[in-house]
Amino acid sequence: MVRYAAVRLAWAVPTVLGIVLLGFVLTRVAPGDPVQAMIGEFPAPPGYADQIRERFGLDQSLPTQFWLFLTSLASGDLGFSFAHNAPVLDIILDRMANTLLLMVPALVLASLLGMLLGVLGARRAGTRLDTLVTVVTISGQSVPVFWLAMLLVLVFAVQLGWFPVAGMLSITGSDTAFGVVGDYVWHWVLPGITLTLAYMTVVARVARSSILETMHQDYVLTAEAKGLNRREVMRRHIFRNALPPIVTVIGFNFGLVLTGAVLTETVFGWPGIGSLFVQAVTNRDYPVIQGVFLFSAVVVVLVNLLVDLLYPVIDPRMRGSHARV
Amino acid sequence: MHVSRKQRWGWLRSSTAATVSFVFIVLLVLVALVGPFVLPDDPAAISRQALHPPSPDALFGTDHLGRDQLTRMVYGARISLLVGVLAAGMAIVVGIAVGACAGFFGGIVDIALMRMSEFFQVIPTLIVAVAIVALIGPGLGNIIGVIALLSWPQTARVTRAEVLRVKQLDYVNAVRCLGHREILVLLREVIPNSLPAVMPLIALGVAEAILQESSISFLGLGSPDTISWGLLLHDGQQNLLSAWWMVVIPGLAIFATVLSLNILGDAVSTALNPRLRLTGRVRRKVVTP
Repeated sequence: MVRYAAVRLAWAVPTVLGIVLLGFVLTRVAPGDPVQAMIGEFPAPPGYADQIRERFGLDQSLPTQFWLFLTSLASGDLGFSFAHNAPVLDIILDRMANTLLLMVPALVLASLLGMLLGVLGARRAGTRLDTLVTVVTISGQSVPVFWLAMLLVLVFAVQLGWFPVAGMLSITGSDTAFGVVGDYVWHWVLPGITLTLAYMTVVARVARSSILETMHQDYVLTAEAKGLNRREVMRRHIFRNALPPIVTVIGFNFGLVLTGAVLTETVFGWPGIGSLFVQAVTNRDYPVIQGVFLFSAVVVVLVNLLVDLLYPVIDPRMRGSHARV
Repeated sequence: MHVSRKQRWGWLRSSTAATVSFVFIVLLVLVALVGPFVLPDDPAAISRQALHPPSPDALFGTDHLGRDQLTRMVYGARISLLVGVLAAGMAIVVGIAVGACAGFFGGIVDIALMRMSEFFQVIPTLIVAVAIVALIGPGLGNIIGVIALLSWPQTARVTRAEVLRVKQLDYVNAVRCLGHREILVLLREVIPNSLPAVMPLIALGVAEAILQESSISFLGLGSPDTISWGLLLHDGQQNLLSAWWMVVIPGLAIFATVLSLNILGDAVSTALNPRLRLTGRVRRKVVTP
């Protein structure tokens, strides 16, 4: 178990380095002066460009420049955004809570509903219910999520007026904590449902095929032959063994927690990292673009690492010293 | 091995959904190819009343600048399909090359290539694509290249698995015994015989690429002169409250196209793996007490 964890951890390091390298290359392949790419298209104080040139040693060799880039990242310096007049890291941390408030409930809901749909589809394989599950999942994977979001706005916000068109909280606000939470939930419904539907179908699809595959194992036949009831067989023998791929896909979804909302936040004007990123792209605010990229990619690696460490908990076969890593 | 016509097209006729999807895609390609020669309007011509809802005069309405949406949809089909096919094509070629080398040569080559593909699978695709396009510029070639760069790993993994299986089959060993060079064994025997496994990924890859392109253009990163369905949706979002048709129609086109391609991809993979088809029904008789 310890060895497994160590190997996984060791693999995460080159991945993070690769991401940093990609971020470094991005500013170098950008057309024009790399200093300009680091500042963005904003009027910076005259001394700042020289400061950057000195800090990243732009007259030095590329490996030296990369090393300087790496050390400044390690000290938490993601650059400075003149559009926001604040350090990039501060801006990102500031927006992160909003994105998590949007994404985490949607991801949890999507994971639960997705597994439920997967179990239903697999248990009733070949029936109309299964066909319905298949239709829902394949449609969910084909629908552009931002279009789904706009359709929901058209119907439930514009036509019916049940929910707000955009935003996270009403401008008028509420005095009580209860009122604020209610206001947030009211604003969450449309973007939250959009994301729930999008992620749910991915989970349902994997869950259905994994459960269907496990149902045909000999040990399931044995369990049935022993006379266990179907619920028990599903819970203890099928579902548990079908879990690893499901956990993988759920983990993958959670890894993309900061980036999955880019399109949805744009449509709903949700003040999170996604809309920060799109705004930065529109304004050519390169430090923020690069900062969001680095930050979100590292979050992906960390969440994947956590999921990897979760496998031995789910699957005892991975605990032994001979575990395949 | 001789494959009868029935076998070759069996996958398509196996389900109504697959047949309908196939017909839809064929029609769409025809519209994209022929449409621009038939339609009277220039897609950029500002000739009509702005934000006019669909009517017999303008079937899909007009946009905020008074341009005919039907014309723009047809031109958009060209770009969306072109990007889909080219990006997916490039990704599949790269994926086959990488996967074949990894599976065939094994050892350090395998580890290095598979680590690299894992890296590309892990990084957040949309963010990376948007960041790259924002930095290097919005040309169509750039967008196609970025989508291809970020989507080859799946093909590589599937190809690798298949190459691992094929390379130790008897006829491959027989060719080796004839004294052919390893590289020729790979190119002439192993890769061609591994290709069927990649088949379902073609349609799925095109579908994914079309979705990616539409996301990038939707965020306003495509060139405003390159009309794609994503760009139409970008314009649609700006007029969401006043012109539903600018949102509903282009999105429906993307949805229908991607759905059809996904159904076709699934039909191909079901045809190649008949076990998927039987699961459930056959077993149910045993399970149900």
